[in-house]
Amino acid sequence: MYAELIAIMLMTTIACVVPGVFLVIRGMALMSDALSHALLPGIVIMFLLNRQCTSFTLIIGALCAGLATVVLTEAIMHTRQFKKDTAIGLVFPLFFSIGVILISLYARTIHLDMDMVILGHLVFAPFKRFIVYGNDWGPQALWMMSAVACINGIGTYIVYKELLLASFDDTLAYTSGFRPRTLHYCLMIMTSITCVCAFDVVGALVVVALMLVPAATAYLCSSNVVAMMWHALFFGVSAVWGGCLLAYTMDVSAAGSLATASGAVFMVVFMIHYVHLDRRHDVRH
Amino acid sequence: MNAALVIQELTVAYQKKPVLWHVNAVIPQGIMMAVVGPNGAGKSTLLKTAIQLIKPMSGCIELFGQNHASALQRVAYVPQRLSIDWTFPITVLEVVLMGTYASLGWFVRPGHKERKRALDALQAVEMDTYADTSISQLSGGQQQRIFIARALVQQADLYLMDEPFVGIDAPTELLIVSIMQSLRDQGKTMIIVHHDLQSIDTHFEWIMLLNVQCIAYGQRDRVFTQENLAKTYGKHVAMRI
Amino acid sequence: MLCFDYTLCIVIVCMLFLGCTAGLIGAFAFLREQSLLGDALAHACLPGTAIAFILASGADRFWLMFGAWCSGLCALVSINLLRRTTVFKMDTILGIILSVFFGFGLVCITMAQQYALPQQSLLTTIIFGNAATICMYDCYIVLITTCMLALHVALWWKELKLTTFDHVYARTQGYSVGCYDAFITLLLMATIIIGLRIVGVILMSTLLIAPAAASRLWTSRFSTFIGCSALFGACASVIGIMISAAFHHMPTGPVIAVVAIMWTLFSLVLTKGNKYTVS
Repeated sequence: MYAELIAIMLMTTIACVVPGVFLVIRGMALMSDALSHALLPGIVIMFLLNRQCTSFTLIIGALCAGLATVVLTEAIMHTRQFKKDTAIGLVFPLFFSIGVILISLYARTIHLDMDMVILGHLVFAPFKRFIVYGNDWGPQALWMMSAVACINGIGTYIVYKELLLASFDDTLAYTSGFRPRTLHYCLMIMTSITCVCAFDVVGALVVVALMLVPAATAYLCSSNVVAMMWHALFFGVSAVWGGCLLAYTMDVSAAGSLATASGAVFMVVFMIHYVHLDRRHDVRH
Repeated sequence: MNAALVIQELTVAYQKKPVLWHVNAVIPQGIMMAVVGPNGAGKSTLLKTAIQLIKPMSGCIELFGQNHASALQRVAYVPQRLSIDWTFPITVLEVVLMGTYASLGWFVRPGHKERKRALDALQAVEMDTYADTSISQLSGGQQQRIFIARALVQQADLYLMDEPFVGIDAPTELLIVSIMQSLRDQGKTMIIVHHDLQSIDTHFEWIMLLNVQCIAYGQRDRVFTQENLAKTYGKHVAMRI
Repeated sequence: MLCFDYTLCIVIVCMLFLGCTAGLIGAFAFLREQSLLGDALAHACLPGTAIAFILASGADRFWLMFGAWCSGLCALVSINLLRRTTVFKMDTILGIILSVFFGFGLVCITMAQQYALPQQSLLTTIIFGNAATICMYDCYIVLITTCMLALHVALWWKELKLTTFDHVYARTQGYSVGCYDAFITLLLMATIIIGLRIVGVILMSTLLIAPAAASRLWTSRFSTFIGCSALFGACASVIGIMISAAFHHMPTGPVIAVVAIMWTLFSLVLTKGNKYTVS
């Protein structure tokens, strides 16, 4: 059972790292935080419409909420009255608060518990099995996260150069005929799907940690994006190893341990970076 | 032969404030033209409207006689250096390779041919030894050079550049000018937003004076007069021409 | 039907001043483009609170606030360090600090639960606050904080105005810009910690952003902007409480957040095309 738990954590980390790298280099790190909070009303509304709570319908609901978040944030930025930070800081609390209100009003008695939303139920994940024709294929979460990891990996591989171009210089992307806006929305959809699937496993805030922290750690020691991805995967896997150790020895939240461990890895790499920093060269522009 | 750029009654406004107003111009191929004017004159906006990044309120710009996106294949746009994120984790060669993406289309990766083109372009701007360097380590002049290399790789017919000479060293400036002049001699068209009136004489043979409206454009000897400068900048500019 | 009982009155008064304070300090944060810093700091207070909870063997208000303060300071120091020594953009730094500190906080909370201390879910309290348990003590604290904040802002008005607007020029004029920066940031932290226990993380972050954003749309004058922001914060809080009190099972915090943000969005539509633009 522990093996399955570790496998789930591994696949979740791998799935999160890919969109995370692009979010970090595009300077959209807090969209992951915004999306993971704003998915809540989508999940709640889907749940209220159809009390079955299957993963697939929840993903659809969360996707709709995610897209609505992105569209509304961009609409606010389009008025040019607020910067991106402010727009994000207005939209996701709105959605999250609406989700909480809906839960309090209509869904208090069911197991859509707020603690679970924030914490995820990683420890329970191995108990929800994927049963096909009477055969037990393993935990549902493992299949789901593996599928997401594959989709993210393959999707990124196929449109890597287009995503890279759109992230670095969207004007050239536009004049070269690659649609930067479409790519942006695709990335947001990928992030939303990853968020909602990982939500279930590790909870809202640890998803953010998994997306951002290994990618940021990799940013400190990579000179190009491909190297950054591989480094981020390595740091993510190290975080899983460290997190499992912490959770097992101290008997604490597995999801929290994962986030803490990724932070610890970041600290180690940062200290090495700091020591090697050329003090004369001002890194801030 | 089609003119490189035909601007007809172009008006671009933002929130009721006009940025470009009834601009008309016909710019032929094979020239090097400077676009000059005070701050807020709409120079960058003109370039961005030409590459269809901004939608005009009225009027249009035609590139090589065409009005749609396929014409953009023949245009290379070099943005202001400030608009780029220089902390992006990417190497010099990767930036220059980006100029080849348009010819490759979706899903196809750059191959040996594209790498060779990119390295040749880097050699032309004397940056080939920096191919695997991260762009965060480049100086201002070096940054501008790799953008010129990227534009070269695009093998365009029209080059639009937004203030390429700001904040770069003299050797880089001379190198870029000589590259531009050789492109012009091959029949390409260069339209450059320029900030320094002193160097107009040495670099450009055509000039457009822009201050929301097009004050004058055409051959430098005819257009670059005290009177036109006064109309563009107000009465404060005194130049020894 | 609204019943104006004693508890409700206390809640209204407390939230009025909290909204006012948050609006006031949020206005400065907005001008310094530090809107989401408040959000990150609010999340970062969790581990300190949890550790204080364990060490103090219970939910003693003072120790919880002290723990939150320590945690928040750590986060601040980390943010500044990362800003000075890496090429990360500000939102990457905030994202890292927010999620790692919060994750560590989750670890601490599950450790706290092992001690089987008699207290309701600490986590839910941190996220959503507990407006229902506001008492006179909380009211006094918020009132004192608001007065201190207003006093300091009034005392250092012209210095704060200058260093917020153009810190380079301020430095050339001999002002110690770093001090004023630290001052505003500490006031921000104080507001967050006071407010966290009452309204939770999400609402605290909203109260710091939304009234300031709305105020910016209505006015371009510095003094009016600061004043309006405080006013909008106070109004949103009071209106939110009234609405949630009028219906059964409406949670207070989220309602206030929705009111504040909807007002900002309406302001965006109502004042369209009037004002400045950002690049």
